[in-house]
Amino acid sequence: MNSKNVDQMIRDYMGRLQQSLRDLPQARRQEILEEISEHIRTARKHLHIENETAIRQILAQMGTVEDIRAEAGLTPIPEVSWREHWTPWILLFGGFFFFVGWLAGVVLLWQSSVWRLHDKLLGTLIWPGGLAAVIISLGVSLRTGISTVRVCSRPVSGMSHCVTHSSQPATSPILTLILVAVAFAAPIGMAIRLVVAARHPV
Amino acid sequence: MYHMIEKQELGQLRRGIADRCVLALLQHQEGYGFDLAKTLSEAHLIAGEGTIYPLLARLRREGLVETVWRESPEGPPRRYYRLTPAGMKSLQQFRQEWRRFTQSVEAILNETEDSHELKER
Repeated sequence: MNSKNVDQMIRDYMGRLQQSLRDLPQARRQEILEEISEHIRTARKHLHIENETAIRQILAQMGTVEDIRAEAGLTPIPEVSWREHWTPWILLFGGFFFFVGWLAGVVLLWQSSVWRLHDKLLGTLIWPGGLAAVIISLGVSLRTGISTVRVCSRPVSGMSHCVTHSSQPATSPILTLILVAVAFAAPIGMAIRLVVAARHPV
Repeated sequence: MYHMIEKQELGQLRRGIADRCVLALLQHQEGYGFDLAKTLSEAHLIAGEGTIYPLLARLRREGLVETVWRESPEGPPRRYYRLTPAGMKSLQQFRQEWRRFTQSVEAILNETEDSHELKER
């Protein structure tokens, strides 16, 4: 007999139950959890010998966490498949595969029933093309930012006079840095948000 | 597959009946969740003992049962359930409907059973 093991088994069950009832209002969830916890405590007191088998039996008699969820009037949690595991990352990095990869990510995102509408909208809009789009637009703006213009004039004196203009970025370097950081962080944050939302589906 | 469908249908039928049975169990005395769960589970009226708690919570929200805290010799105070007047009324209605319902079903089942036996002869 290992009391640590049986306590852990009960904690696992209660953890799964809590997760399964997460859509319930806090007060209702808390009440059910407390009562079930007390039920298990009472059942343990009635045991002659406490061992893993006995605890497993108590937990089996409690019913599955899905059954308890259903009785609480909640619909079953949609199953998260490989698609939902990969979709956030396909959206983030798919753009590197000729942009088509990102489109595939969008299709997967909208086909899934795991995400809510606002997650799907945000997932599509931040950013179309994912990280690839950020890198490409950064490349484009850097090239225009450091582009130099060489203007030569030959005045009457005959001396050729050339001036090289290095066009300065309109914004301050700190602001540019912040914008770049946000541009990178937004799709990464979005991917993480989608991963988290897939673990706690509607 | 057939067996599974049969089980699901029974499950749906059972769900509607279990909460009325809770009311019946509380008709004459207050009940402790643990004991109610054991009784209904042994009668195969609930899918698992734990499902009694969301069921009881629902009955309480509907105003059919209420809870009282009672001191327990074994530890912290316990939550007991008892019937409200509305619960009593609902139980009485269910009793009548259930009697009619089972009588009709019984009558049909008995009739068809007889015809089976006649055919076999």
